[in-house]
Amino acid sequence: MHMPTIFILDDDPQVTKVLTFKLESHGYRVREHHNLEQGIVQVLAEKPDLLILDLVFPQKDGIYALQQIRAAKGFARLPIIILTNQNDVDFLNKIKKEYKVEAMMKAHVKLEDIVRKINTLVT
Amino acid sequence: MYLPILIFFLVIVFEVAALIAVFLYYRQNAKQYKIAGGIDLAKIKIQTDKLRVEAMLDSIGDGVVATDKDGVIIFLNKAAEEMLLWKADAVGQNLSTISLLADENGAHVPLAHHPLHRCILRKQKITTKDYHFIRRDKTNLAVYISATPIIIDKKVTGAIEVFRDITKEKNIDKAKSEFVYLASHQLRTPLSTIKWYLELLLSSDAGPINDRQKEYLGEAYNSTHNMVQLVNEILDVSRLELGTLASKHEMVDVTSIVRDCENEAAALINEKKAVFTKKISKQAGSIYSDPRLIRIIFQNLISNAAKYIPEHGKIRVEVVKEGKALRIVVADNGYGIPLEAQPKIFSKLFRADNVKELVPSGTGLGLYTVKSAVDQLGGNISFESAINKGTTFRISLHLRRA
Repeated sequence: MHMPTIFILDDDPQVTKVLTFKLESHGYRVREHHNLEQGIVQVLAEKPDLLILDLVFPQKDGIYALQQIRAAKGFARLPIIILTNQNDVDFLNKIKKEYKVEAMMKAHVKLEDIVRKINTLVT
Repeated sequence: MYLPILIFFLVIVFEVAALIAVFLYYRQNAKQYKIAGGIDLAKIKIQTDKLRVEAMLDSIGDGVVATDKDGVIIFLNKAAEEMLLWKADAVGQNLSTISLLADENGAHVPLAHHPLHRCILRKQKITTKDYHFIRRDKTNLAVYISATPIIIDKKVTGAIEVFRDITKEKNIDKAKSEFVYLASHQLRTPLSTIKWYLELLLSSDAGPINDRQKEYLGEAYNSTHNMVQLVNEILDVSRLELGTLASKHEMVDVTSIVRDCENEAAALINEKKAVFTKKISKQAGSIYSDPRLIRIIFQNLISNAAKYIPEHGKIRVEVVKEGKALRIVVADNGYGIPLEAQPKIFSKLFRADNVKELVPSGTGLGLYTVKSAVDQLGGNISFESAINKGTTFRISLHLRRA
């Protein structure tokens, strides 16, 4: 049976740890990376079934990752969930439209909500 | 024998007449002396007043420039000389050409948009803090400018421009905005992580826990959730107060904002088995306004309604566009606001006694934030409320043209 791979790109290890545990317990294979540039390279090499991406990183931001990934061949339709604490809803709505991604606010969603969202995007 | 008496009388009359003539002559001269002395005194007084006015204008910390109706400088004070890097030789030059302006993005402000020109043209006071001077030595100076026309007999005869160096204020503003942005992100990040780990433990994904542990973890989870709400509300308030939410108008999708806010309150609405109805007229669905301020209004009113209704309560949201006004109604059939609390509900940190007992977790910031957002959009808010019958908030916003 194919085990879908979820890639988590977030610089906070405490975030990736709890997400990885939750997603693995729901039958997903999880890969995580805390460095944005290296993470983008890994995503492009590994072609996961879904990417969970944070927006704020120490140097470049998540928008840079979106531009790189969406521009790469075969990645136009990779399901991406922006998982951020940036709470400017209108800014997030713009990103959702422009890069065809989902967006969830960390502080406002439960792990269960994230799992449910992933289940609908990865079939 | 009467002759001497007659002569005596005639002499007396003559003497009196002579005395009167002399008196009248001197009085006339005295008047002239007085006038001559008066003019000299007046001249001195005018000179003194002029010096005093100039000294006062020079002592003002703000730059003051007076121009004629074409913008040619008639007078500038010391502070203006220092800020513009010009001396008294600026008199006779056009103010707009010696004080070039640029906007926040560094783009030159065309002469026609200079506050001085606008105030003369529109015959009204113009103020702005969006510009900076580009000075003779090419350095920039952030300034607050206020330009006022001088109107005599309904005709503009000149203008006064006053400007103040606001470099420090701008820097403080920027630092505050950065702080709010950072705080919003940094405070929420650990809170969301705590929430997720607690959720993990509560769901028994990480192994079984007993009922008591579950209960206590549940309390910790709820407190963390309240803390997230508190951080959100404090951030909205500080943004509004700092002006970092200064209104930025664009096309706003009201329908989707109401839907988002309904979704945010959905957990509570479902838990109370409450009924949520909304009616948004077609024209009100898309308006020209500030999406963040509109969101703050709906977010707080809907979440308040959800918080303060009993089981099976009702919430009704209506939005209609009437001419240039957007009318918003958010009504509930909840606990209501006690009469004595009604004058205070828009005050910061105020909570009415009845809801303090019923819903202990509120912050008293919600309605204050709503009122601030409404004020910033140039609208007004009112309400009717009765205990255990509910509360209806009505907002009217004046819409600008796109």
